[in-house]
Amino acid sequence: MKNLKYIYLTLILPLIVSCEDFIDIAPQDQIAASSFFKTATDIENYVKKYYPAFPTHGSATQPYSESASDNMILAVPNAVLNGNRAPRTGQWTNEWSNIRSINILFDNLGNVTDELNLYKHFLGEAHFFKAWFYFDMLSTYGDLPWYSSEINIGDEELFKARDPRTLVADSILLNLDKAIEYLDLRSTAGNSRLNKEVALAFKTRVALFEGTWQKYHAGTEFATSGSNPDKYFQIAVDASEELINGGYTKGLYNTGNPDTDYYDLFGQDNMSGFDEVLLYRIASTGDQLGHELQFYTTRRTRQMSLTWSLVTSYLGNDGNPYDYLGLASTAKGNDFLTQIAADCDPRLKATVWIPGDLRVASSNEFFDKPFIDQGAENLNATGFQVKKFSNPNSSAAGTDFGGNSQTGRIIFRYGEVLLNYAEALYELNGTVATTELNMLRTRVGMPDFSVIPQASYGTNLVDYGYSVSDALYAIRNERRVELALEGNRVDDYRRWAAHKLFQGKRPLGYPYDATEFPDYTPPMDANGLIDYYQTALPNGFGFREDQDYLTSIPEDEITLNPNLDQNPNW
Amino acid sequence: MKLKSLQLIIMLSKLSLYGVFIQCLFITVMLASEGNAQKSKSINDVYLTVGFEKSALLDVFKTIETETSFEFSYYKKDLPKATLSLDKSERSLAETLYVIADQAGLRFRRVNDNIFVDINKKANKRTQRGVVLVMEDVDIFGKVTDETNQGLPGASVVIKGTSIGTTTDIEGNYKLTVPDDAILSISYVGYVTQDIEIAGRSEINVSMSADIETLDELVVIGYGVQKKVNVTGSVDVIAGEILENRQSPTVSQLLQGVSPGLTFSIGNNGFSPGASVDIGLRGTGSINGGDGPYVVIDGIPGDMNRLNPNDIESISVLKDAAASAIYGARAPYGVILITTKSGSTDENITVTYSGIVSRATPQNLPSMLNSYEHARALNEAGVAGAGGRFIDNATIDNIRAYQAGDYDFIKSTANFPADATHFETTPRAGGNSWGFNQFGSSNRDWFDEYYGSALNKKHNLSLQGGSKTTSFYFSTGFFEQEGVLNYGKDTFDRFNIQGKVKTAITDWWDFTYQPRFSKTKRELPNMDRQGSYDLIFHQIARTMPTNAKYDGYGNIMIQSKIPWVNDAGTDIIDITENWQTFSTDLRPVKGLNIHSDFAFRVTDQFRSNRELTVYDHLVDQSIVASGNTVPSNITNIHASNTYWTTNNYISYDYSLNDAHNFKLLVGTQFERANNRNMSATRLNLLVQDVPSLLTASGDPTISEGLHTWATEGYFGRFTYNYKGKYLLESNVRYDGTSRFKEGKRWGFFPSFSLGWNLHEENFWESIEGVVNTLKIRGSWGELGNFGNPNTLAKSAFFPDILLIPLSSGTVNWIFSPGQGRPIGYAGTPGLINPDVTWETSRTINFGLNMSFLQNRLQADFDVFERTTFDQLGKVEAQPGVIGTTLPQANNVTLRSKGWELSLRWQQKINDGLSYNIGVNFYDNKSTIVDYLNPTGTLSDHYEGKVLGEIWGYTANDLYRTQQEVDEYTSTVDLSDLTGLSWNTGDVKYEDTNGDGMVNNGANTVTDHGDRSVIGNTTPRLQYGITASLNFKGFDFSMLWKGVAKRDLWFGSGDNIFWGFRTGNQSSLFPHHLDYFRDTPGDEYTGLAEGDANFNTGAYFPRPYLNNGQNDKNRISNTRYLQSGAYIRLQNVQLGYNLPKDVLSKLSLQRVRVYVSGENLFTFSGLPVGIDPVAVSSSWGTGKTYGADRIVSLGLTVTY
Repeated sequence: MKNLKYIYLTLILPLIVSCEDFIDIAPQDQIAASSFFKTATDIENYVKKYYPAFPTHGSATQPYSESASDNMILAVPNAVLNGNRAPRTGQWTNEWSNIRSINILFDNLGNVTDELNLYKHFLGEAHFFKAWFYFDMLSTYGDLPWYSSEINIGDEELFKARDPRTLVADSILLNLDKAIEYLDLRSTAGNSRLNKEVALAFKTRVALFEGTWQKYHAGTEFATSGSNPDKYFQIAVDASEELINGGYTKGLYNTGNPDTDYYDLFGQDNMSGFDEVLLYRIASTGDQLGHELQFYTTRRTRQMSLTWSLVTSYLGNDGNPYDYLGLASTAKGNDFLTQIAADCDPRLKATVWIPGDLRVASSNEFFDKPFIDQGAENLNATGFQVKKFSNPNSSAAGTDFGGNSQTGRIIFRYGEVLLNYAEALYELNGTVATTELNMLRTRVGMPDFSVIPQASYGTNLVDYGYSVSDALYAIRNERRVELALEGNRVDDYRRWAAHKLFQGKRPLGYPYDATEFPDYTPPMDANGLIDYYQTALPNGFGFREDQDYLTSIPEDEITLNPNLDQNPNW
Repeated sequence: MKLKSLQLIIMLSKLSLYGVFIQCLFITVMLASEGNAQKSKSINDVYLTVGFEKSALLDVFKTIETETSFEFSYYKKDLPKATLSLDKSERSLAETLYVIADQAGLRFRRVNDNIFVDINKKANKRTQRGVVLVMEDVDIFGKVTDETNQGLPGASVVIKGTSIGTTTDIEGNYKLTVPDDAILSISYVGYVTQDIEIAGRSEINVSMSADIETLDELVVIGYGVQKKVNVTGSVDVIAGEILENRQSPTVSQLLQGVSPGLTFSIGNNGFSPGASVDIGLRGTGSINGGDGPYVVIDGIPGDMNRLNPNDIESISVLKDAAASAIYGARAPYGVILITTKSGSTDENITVTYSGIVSRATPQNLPSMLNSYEHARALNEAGVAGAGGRFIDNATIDNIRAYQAGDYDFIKSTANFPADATHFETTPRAGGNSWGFNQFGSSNRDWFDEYYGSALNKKHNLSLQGGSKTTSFYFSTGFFEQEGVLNYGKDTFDRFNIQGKVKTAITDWWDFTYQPRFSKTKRELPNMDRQGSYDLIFHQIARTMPTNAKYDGYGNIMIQSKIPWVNDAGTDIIDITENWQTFSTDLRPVKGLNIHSDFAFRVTDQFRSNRELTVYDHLVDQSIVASGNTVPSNITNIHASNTYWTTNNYISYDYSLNDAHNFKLLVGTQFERANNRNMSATRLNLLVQDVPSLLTASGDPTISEGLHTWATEGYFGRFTYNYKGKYLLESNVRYDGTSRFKEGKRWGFFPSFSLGWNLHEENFWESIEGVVNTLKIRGSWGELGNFGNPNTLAKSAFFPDILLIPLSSGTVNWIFSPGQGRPIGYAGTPGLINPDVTWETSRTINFGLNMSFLQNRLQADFDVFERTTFDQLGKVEAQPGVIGTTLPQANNVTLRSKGWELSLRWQQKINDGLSYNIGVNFYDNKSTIVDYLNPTGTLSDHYEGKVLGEIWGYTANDLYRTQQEVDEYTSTVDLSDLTGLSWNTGDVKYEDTNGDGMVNNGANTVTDHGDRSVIGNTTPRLQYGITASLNFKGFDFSMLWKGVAKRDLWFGSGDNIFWGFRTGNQSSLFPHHLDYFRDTPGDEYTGLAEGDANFNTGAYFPRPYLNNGQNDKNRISNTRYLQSGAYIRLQNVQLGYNLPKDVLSKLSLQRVRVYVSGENLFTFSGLPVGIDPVAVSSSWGTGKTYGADRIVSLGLTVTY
C-alpha cells in the first residue's frame, strides 16, 4: 500500500500543472473593432472595399440591364414588364449589409486620432456610398426604415416601421451634401475615385428621381404622402447649376468629329483624360479585371435586341421626326438599316450595327447582317443589334469569351447631368435649358434643340399614358436618345409612371427581308416588322401598374417585423 | 510489362536458389556441428595435460581449447576476475572443469562441442559447494508437421533461451543433439510456437497448429489494450492484412466495406489521384459537420491518409460512447485507432519487400453521340423551345461532308484557306477564327480522347526483429499514382518512412521512440483557375462531338480544352509531415503502469499555383492568347503547422483472489497546434518554363495567417470484472478548449458500460458445444464536440471579440489607369455570440457477441441511439435590416439510430483447404429533434426532419398528346410551377391533394401542397462482404461493398443525367435519345426523317435548350427519382505462395506473387457516367473522377 502514495501523487501532479492559460489564446492576425478606426489609413482601408459594388460592364449590367425597359428585348419577355415577377421570398439581409457596414464606421468615428483633414476624403466616400446603397433600395422598395447606426439583436429599432420615402430621400441627399463637402475635387482624386463632381452629379440624379416619382405617381397607389416635387426639382437644378457653373472639371467629349465622337466615347479603355467622364470603372486584363463587353458587342449578342420603339425615337438628321414606318414599307433588312443610318441622328448608327460597319479591325471583319436567325448567345431577335460600347480597335474586339475586354465603364458622365438639369428645370418652372441641350446636339452635328409638336412625330410618337407638353416630350426624347442603353431607361419609365410606353404592347423589330434569310421566317406584324413575342405575348406586356413599380418586401421580413407594411398589391 | 516482371522474378528466384541453398546448408552445419569426431565422447573420456599458475580465466579457456576440440562460450563481462592455479597433470576434461568451477565460482554446461560458461550464483553460499553441472547430451530427432500432418520444412527447432538449433528439412524432419534437460522451442511463421520438454525422449514429433484468432485475443482500446472477451464497449477490429497489398492510394479508401458502421463520402474531386474518402461513423452526428471519427495512430491523433497502408498492424473502430469516452471531447463520433507494426523481442530479423505494378482504367465511361446525330438532337430541342435550331444548316452540311470524307465540300466554305490540311472545322462566318462547338464539323468522342489509362507503382521495404531487450521495426514505402486522363499532369506520389524502436531499460522500464515521416506530392491541372479542378470533367462532357481537335492547320484548338488542361499550368502541393513520438512505460510494482508520451509533428505544406498563358491559332495562322489565361501568374503558399501533444496516465491492475479484477486508469492529455502560413502572388511570369515568384514581374501580393489552438483534458477509467463473468467499466473526461471562452470552455463527459459473459456461467455447459460464447453488453455515455479544429474558421475561436477581418487581398477596382488593384482592405465585423459552448453527443448502445461451433462462426451485433444536443444552430430569425448573418447558438438536437451486424465464418477442411466468409450489415438514420424553425419552412431543417429526405411532386407520366395537355391544364392550375406553357412531352405533375392546383402550398411542414417526401439520399442498409480461400499455396480473397437503399434526385443542371441543358451545356449520350418527340424530323432536325422520328413513349421528357423550359420538367418528382443503390467489387486477389520446400532452399520465409483488382465491377442502377460513390461534383453529378478499375501484379518476399 506504500505504492498508493505514489499513485495519488501522480494523480495530483497534472492538476497542479494545468492552468487556464494554456487554453486562453488571443487572435494573432486580426484586430478587434475597438482598436480599429484610429487613423486615416484605417478608414481608407475600410471604405475602399465598397468600390467594387459599382456596376460593371459584363454580365448583368450595362447594356444588358436595359432589357428591363422598352429599349431592348431578350429571347424571353422581361418578367417585370410582363407583370409576372414573383413575390420576393427569403430575407433581404444581404441588401442591408453595406448599410450596416458603413454605420459601424460612423459609430466608431470617436476612435479616430487623426486630423479631419487627413481622412475627410474617405469620410466623404463613406457618405457617398451610404447614399448610393440607400438610393438603390429606395428605388427598389420605396419607403424604408432609415438607420444611422449599427443595430444589434435586441434593439427595438430592428422592428421599426418604414420611414416615408421623403425622409429617406432627404437623408440620402443630406449624406450627399456631406460627401460634396468632404470629397476631394476630381482634379485631385481623378475620375476613377469618388470626387466632388460625382457627388454633385449623383445628387442631380437622386433629386430628379425623387421629384418626378412624387409628381407622376401622385394619385396612384404609389403616391407619396407630403409630396413636394418642386423641392427636389429645385435641389436637382441647384446641384446641376453648381456643377455647370462652378470651377469643376467637366465637359463633353468633343474632338470635332461629330460622326464618331459620341460612338468613340463609350468604347475606350482609358477614360481618365475625358472631362465628360466624371467617374468610370477601369477594366484591365493585366489585373484580371477584364469583362465580356466586346465579346457581346463585336462577336455575339447575348440575345440583346433593340426595339423599334428605341430606334424610332431618333430624329432625322434634319432635327425633325423621321418616317421610319414609311421607309419600312419600301426598304427591308439591310437596306432599311443602311438608309436610317444615312438619314438619322448620328447617335443611331453609334448605337445600332449597320451592315458594312467595321466590327473587328484586327481581322478586318465587317458587320454583315443582324443575327436574327441565330440561337442562344447569338440571337438578335429584332434586327437592331447593339453597337454602342463596342470598339473595333479594342484588343478584345472579336475575341472569345474569357474576360478579354478592358473597356471603361462610365458610371457618371456630364451628359447625364445636362439632361437631368434640363428635365428638372423644365419640371420646376417650364424653362427649356436650350444651351445645355444644344451642347449635346452640337457634339453629334445635329441641328439645335427645338420643341417639335407631338403631332409631327407621326407613328413614332410614344404614349406616356398621360399628356405631356411638347417641350417635355422633346426633353424626354432627347434623354432617351443620348442615354440609350446606359441603364437609365428603367428608372426613367418608373419615375415617370410611364408603363403605357409598353403595357399592352409588343416590342417590334426591323422590317425583315426574306431574301437575306432564306432558311428563317420570324413572326411579323402587319407592317412586316419582326414581332418576336407574337406567341409569347399575345396581349402585349402585362405590366401590373398598381403593383410592379415597386418590388415586394420579402415575405419573411413582413412576418418577422409586423410593423413593416407590404408594398401595394403584393 | 507484366510478362517482363514475371520473367525477372523467376530468373532471380533460380539464381538465388543455388546460392541460398548452399548458404542454408552452411548455417545448419554451423549450428548443429554434426559430424564432429569427438562428438560421441563424453567430457569424462577426453583427457588433457595442463597446468596453470595464477592464470587469467581467458588464458585457461584458450589453453583447453587448443588441447581439445571443445570451445568455450561465454560473455566476457560475466567472467570473474579470478586467477587460477592448477598443477600440471593429466586429467579428464570433466575433472579439469570441476577444479576451475570450484575456484572461479563458475558453472559449465556442455552442448555438443561447446562448453557454456556462466556464474554459479549458488556458489557464494557457504553451505553449498560450488557445483559444476555437466549435462549429458542426447541425440533427438523428429518431424514437425502442420495440422494436416504434412511435414513443415524450414521450421525452426531451437533450445529455448539459446540460438542453438536447427531447421527442419524438406520433409519436416530434424536431428539435434541437446542437453537432456533442454526445452525445445519449435516455431514457424503463421503457427503457434510450441515449447516442449525432452523428458527423456529421443523422438519428438510436433504437430503445429495455425495461429488463428482466439478468445484471448487482445483488443487495442483507448489508452491500453483489453482482452476482447472483457470489452464492454462496441469495438470492431480490422486486421492489417486486409489493407496490405492493395493498390488504393489511401487508407481511407481501403476501409470501404471492411467494418460495419463506417460510412464514406467522397468530395467533389472524386477518386482523383491520392484521393481520401471522408469517413463517418454511424452516420451524421452533427448538422455542422466535424462529425467524423477521431483518428489515433499509435496513441497520437493523426491523419490516416498520410500512412503507408502496409505499416498498419491492426485497426480498432471504437463506436459507442463507452469505447471512445476516454478520448472525450475529441471523439464524440467514435474513434479509429490505428496500431502500426512493431518488431518483437527475441525475433529473428526479417526483411520484407513488396511491390505492386498496376494499370488503372476508367470504369463506367459514357460515349458521345455521332456528331450528326448530336446536331440533329440539339436542333430538335432548340426548335421545341425558344431559340430555334442550335446548329445551323451549313454546319450540319459540313458535318455530313466531313463524315463522308468529302473534304472538297469543306474546302469550298467561305474563307477556307487553300493550304489548310485538316477539315474538322471551318472559319467562322466573316471572322478570322475557326468555328468550335456548334460551329465545328468534326466527329469526335471527347471521352475517348481524354480518357486513357494510368500506370501506378508501389514499393515497400520493411525490416523488423528484436534482441532480448530491444525490438525494432523500420519501413519505407513509395507510392506513385497518376490519373487516367491523357492530358494534363495529374499525379500523386507518397513517400513514407516509419520506424519504431522499443527498448527495455530495465525489466520494469520501457522506452519507445517512433519517428514517422511522410511526403506527398500532388500535381493537378488548374485550368487556369477558370473553375475548380473538376471543371475538366465538366468541359470534357460539354465539348461537343462537332468540336474540332485540330484547326485547319493541325494546331490543337483551344476549344478542345486540351491546351487548358495540358499547358495552362498546374497546382503543386507538397506536404511533408514529420512525427517524432517518444513514450515510456514504467512498471515499478506489479499491476502498476505509468505511461508518458510526447509527440511532436511538423507539417510543412508548400503549394504552388501556376497559371500559364496558352494560345489559340486564328485562320490567318496568327496566334492569340486565350483570354482566361492572361496574365500568367504564380501564387506560392507556404504553411508550416506544428502540433504537439502529450498523454500521461497511470493504470493499476489488481486482482483479488483471481475473482475480483480491478483496473484503474487516470491521466491527462494536452495538445497545442500552431499554424502559420504565408502566401504571395505575382502576375506576369517572365518565363513560363520557370514559374517562380522571382521570375514574375507584377507587384507581389503577400498575405499571412497565424493561429494557435489548444486543448487540455483529464480522464479516468475504472474497470472491474468478476471472474470474467460480470464486466463493468466507467470513464470520465474533463476537457477544456481554446475554442470557447472563459466560463464556457470546460466540459465534463462521463460514460458507463456493463457486460455479462454468459458462457462463463455454469449453466452454460449444456450448450457450450454449439454456442461457445455469448456476451451481452450495454453502455451509456456522453462526449463533447467543439468541431474539427483543423477545419473550423479561425474566427470561430474568438466568439467574444468583434474582429475586423483584415484582408491582404486585392480590391476589384483600380483607382488610376496602370496602377493595378489596391492591395489590402478591412472587412466588416460580423455579429458574435460569446456564449457558444460544447455540443454533446450521448450514445446508448446494446450489443451481443457470440460464437458458435468451435468458434467457427462468430456474430457481433450492436444497436445504438446517439443524441447530439447543444449543436450550433440558427438563432431566432431577426429582421433583415440587421444586415449580417446572425451568430449561432447551441440549440440543435439530432438523433441517430442504427444497428450493425457482423458475421464471420471460418473453417479449415482437412486437405489443406481453408476458407472464411465475413458479412457485415449496418444501417442508421438521423432525425432532427430540436431546431429553431418556427414557421416550419421546408427550405430549412425542421423538427422531425429525417436527414437526407427528398421532397418532390408525384409524377407518373408525360403528356403524350395535346389532348392530354389541354384536358389536364384546363382543370388543374399549374401556374405555381412555371409561368411557361405546357407542351406534349412535358412532365405531368399530379394534384395529389385534389385542390385543383399543383404547388408546394406554403412550403412548410404543415402545408406542403402536393409535395411529399419521395426519397432519401442517405445510404441505407450498407453492407460489406469479405471472402477468402486458401488452398495449398494458393490464396484467393475478395471484398465487396454495397448500399442496398438510397435515392438520388438529379437537379436540373445535372446534364450527365438529363442530357439536354442549354445548347452549350448539353452532354448527350445514346440513352438520352429516348426523349419525347412528336414532330416529324428532317435532315437537320430530329433523329429520323418524317414521322419515323416520333417517340411518344419516351422515358425522358421533351428537351429544350433553355433553362426555364427544361427546369419545368425537372422539378423534383417521383418519375425521375433514381436509385443510388450499388454493389462494388472493391478488391479481388489471387495469390500464390511458394511452397515451403522451395522457400527453405531459398532461405526465404515467404514469397507470394499475386494479381489484384480494385473496383473491377460495380453494379448500380445509375446511368452510365455516374459513379454511385462519387456522385457530387461542383459542376453537377458525374463530372468528376469515378473509381478507376485497377489491375495489379504484386510480389511479396520475406527473408
